[in-house]
Amino acid sequence: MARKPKRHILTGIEIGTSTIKVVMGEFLPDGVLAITGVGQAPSLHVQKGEVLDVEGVRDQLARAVSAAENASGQDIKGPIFLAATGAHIRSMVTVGRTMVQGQGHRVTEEDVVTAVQAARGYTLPPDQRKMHTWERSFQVDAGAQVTNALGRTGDWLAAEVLLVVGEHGPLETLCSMVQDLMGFRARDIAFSGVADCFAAFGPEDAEQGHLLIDIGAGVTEFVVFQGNGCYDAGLITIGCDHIANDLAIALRLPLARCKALVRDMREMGCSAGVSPHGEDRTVDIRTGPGGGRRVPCSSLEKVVELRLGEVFEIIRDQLDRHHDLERIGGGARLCGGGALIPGIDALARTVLGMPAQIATPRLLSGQQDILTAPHYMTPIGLLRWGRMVMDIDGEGNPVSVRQQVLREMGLLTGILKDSLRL
Amino acid sequence: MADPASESRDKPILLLGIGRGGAHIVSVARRSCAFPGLLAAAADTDRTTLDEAQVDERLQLGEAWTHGEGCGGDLDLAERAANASAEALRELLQGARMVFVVAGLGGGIGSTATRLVARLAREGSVQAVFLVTTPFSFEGATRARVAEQSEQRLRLEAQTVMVVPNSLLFARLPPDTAMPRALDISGELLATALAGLAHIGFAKGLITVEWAGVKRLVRHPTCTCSLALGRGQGPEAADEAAREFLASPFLGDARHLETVHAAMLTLLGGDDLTIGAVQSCLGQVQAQFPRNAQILVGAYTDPRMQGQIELTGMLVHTTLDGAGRQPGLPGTFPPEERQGTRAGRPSAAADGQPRQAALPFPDQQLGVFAGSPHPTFHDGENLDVPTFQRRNVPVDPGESL
Repeated sequence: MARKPKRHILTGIEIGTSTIKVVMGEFLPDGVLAITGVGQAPSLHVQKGEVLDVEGVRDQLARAVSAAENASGQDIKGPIFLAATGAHIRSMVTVGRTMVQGQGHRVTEEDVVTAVQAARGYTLPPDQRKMHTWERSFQVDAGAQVTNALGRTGDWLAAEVLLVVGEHGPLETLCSMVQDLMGFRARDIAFSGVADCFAAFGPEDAEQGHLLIDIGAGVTEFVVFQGNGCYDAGLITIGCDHIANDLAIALRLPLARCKALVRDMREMGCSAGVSPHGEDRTVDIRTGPGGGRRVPCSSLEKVVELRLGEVFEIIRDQLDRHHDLERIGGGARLCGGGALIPGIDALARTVLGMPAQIATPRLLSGQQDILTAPHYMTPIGLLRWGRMVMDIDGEGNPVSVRQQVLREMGLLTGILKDSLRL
Repeated sequence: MADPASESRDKPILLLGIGRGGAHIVSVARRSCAFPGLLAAAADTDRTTLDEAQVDERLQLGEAWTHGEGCGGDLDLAERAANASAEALRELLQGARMVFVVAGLGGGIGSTATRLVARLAREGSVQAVFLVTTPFSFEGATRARVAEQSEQRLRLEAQTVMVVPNSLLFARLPPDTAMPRALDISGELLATALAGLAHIGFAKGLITVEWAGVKRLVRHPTCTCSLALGRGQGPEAADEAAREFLASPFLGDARHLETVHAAMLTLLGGDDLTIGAVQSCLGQVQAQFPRNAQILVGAYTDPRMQGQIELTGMLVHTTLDGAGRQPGLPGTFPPEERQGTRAGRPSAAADGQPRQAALPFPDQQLGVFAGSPHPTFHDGENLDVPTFQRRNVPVDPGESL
């Protein structure tokens, strides 16, 4: 990849199912991310995270970009990082092995790199490409699974790697849209869930193990953040649009009105969990002059609870199948537009059986409404992830992603730092 | 006088009346035929109903939701109330060897709590039999629709559902019958039918009927049941019982009897029951049924019935679709159809005219996701269909402003 001088201002762009968000920011010396400009525009013709009409989306993207540029007072010149999601993205776990042949059969960094390379060498179908690779765990001979195998003694080293792969076509579509608009290519493209993790979690969270759930309009992503970074990742193409659609069918209201209903649940005094006496409380939903319905709160809550509860059930089942649940000690964090629905954290606690709270971006300065906004997690996370990508490229040094993550998260202290010889 | 069969098993047979209608019927059943080992219970949201019910156990449902008042036909409220008391219901069911649930569909709690009880019984592996009534035709289309929907949902959860349309009463009763009398007859008949069914559970059997057989009779999704009762005493007891049976008001009109697909007849007599009486009584009744109707016969004795004969019948009618087939799974054809329809010939409806079968209207909607290029499938389920529709949860759409 061509070497570019480091820019101070990075840009993250998320083309979501309901909104296109552009965030510009720069890193202060102490690792705090200062947001300089934010722009957003409603996205049209995006369903379940995938672009259906390139031209329409490009026009909206132009609006969002100019809004961000106006807010920050400067043009976007620096590197742009994109978030991608949709049914074409999936994750898989591959295993690579190597013989430990060094002196005293102690695992060296070369052994680790060889094993990881073997695992990453998994051949994908030609229409797919790797988006992320994470070293999940290592195993020396038949020993326990560890996050770092350096210095252990044994004959064989096995590395387990999580690959996040996506289809080339949809990813390239996103990149080319940015190129058409800005005149240069996006620097790199990340899975939304991974970007969220960068925004939400610090080193202590990786130790405990956390689950991040991003409930967007069209897609819900989930990532288990544990050990060396992302331990497991997945998505379901269900989001707030499904809630709105369910409400439209159940309450016989227009879809556009129901999308607004999902946003306004807090103002209406409704929550994601059914409460007693919900039948007695009614809300008047106007759909225009002289039109509308008077609906019991319970109906609304029941539809939302069933849908969101089901999403959490599917996530829990999948994590259970992959034996991930025991790795999540810290609980779940919710973000995305769906996290704004009141009571969703309580519902997640009940269904997932673990502590759950609304995620907020860490180490951030800027506008107050962005600092606590769970639905801006992805573009903010893109900036942190982007810095890591640029560090790797900039040094031209084949250090592992893991080391970069550790550095990004300030994990490199003491023995660990020595062992990595950094 | 204790029945030896019931003594050997420690858990009682539970008669559970749900809602006002159910509680009334169970009260009558308990009054008229109190067996040892029979536990009558009533469950409702309305405290007044429970106070009036003459039962052994009373269960107030969803106190927090209704404050001891009725649901007023509000299905959502009823469902909440029932769910709030799920634990109490589960406990009640666990204490029983078998449960007969009686409820009137079309109202609030009867339409919703029956389904919950069905689920709880299934989870607790308790054999449950549902005897439900559908509303009188004059009660309006809304109640009828609610009843129909709740019947369909109940059938998803329960295996043995007997649906007795209340409107059948008027086919036989003279129009000048007093209304309270008509309702009393209805209650009494259901109560006796219930007792007749309960006999299968623990009376001393001469000819026994297995529950599996009863289940098979009523498993079809469109079948309805009519009930009949005949009693006789003295030397002519058998003939008297048969006559009364055939004149039973719940039987519907005479034509109804000719279209019976299956029937379960339960004959109860004293220790002195003779083979001649059984032969005569059952013979007279069976002569009225179509030749190929599937009939289950049970004969039981009870020492208290000395010199008396009581014949209870549950007659099953299955609605066929226009093509003369039963909608649903293969293998559920009633015997009459299986034998009467020759292969290769288009079958005809009752009036002899071939008819186009009605196409099922899908009750699941996709809304904006209809025709979506990437439908979301998970474990074979299309998740684009609203969850509440896939899980059959009713949602009150409110009213237009």
